[in-house]
Amino acid sequence: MKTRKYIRTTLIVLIWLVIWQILAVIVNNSILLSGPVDTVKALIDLGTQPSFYLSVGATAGKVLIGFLIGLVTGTLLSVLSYRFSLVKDFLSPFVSVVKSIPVVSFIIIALIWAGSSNVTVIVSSVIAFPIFYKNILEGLSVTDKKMLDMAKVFQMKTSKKIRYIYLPSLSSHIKSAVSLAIGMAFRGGITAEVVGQPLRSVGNGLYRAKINLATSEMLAWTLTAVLAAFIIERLISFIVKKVLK
Amino acid sequence: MIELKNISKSFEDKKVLDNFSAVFDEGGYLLKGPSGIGKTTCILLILGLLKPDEGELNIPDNMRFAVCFQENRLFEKETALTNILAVNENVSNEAATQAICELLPEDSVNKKAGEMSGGMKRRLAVIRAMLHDSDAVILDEPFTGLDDASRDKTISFIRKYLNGRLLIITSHDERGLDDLKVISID
Repeated sequence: MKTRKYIRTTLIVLIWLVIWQILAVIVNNSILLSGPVDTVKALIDLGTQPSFYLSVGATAGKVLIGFLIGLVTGTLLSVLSYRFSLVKDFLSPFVSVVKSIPVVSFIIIALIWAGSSNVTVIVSSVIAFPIFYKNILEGLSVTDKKMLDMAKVFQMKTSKKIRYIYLPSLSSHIKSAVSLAIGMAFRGGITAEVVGQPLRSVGNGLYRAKINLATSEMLAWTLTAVLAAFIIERLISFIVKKVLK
Repeated sequence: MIELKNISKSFEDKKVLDNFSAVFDEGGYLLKGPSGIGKTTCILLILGLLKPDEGELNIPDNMRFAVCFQENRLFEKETALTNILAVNENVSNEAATQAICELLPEDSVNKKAGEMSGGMKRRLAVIRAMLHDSDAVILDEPFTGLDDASRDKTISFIRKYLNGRLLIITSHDERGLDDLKVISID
């Protein structure tokens, strides 16, 4: 059953690649639309340059740091909001504003305040923060009150309450927050790099490809960003799954 | 000593306890009454999980309780052994295993609570309560879903592990509990 699903998914991806290649042949203009073959060639070319790996590593590292900052602050503040309604009411307008402000506004503010080298970390954390805050607060608020009452009677230690009551209740919320936040942090972080132009970054690579009208190279950078986000998301999801087990 | 003095408790418009008084001093008590009369409400008031609308509740500040809730309230994804150890810091692995084997089949030790039958879960909740280091044990309908043999075995288990603590059992069935002092809610 699993093999059938795998074959089916692979076939669907292949069909889309073929459609993409056919469209590229029809358009016949590599600046307007570069096909998958040219994109892979451009990716191989990029792969021969050490700076490519440094750029990908730097972007992934910065997004990851931003993601972790968002995770930690979002988690801590959601716990405080759960315990103290005053904190929740106090943070509510802030979280709503953070959620609704366009990413590009954050990018510009971050560039003014912290410069281009820090923009990826700041933007990624600002994107990840409300996702963790909202999801974990929601998970905490639906924690089974009857189990918490039981823990109170049995005078369970906080560490055991977290392990046996809160974490199982938060599990699905944490998993969906991780999956959503890492993808969005990558998108936001790379957008910030395109605007801010920090040296050695995926965003910088995308920008240079754009000004050179090198569409296949731009798609190769995009493919790299997608793959990096996918791998990191899978890695973090795996770790989260192990921790929550 | 636990004292309930003229306690009244309502949920929305329904009065569950009306001017109820009782004293639980020492030994064993059977809190008796038909279903829905307020036995569980009385238990939750004693445990401090509900507040009375009227009346006085006198419970020593340092009194520690162990309880078997009507709905078990077990960690469904955890094994029987983990369910015991998670709330009983001072109980050893061996002691918990032995207690489980006294009331449940041996292969239940590492069986997840969620995979157990209703009767097994009930007995596991009783084991958890009886092993807990406390001054009073409260068992809310501990024999629900148990056949006669399991019920007798559970009563023997409770007696063995009580160790002189105050015991409050709610049940509408008095069989085997003749030595308990009866307090009726009606």
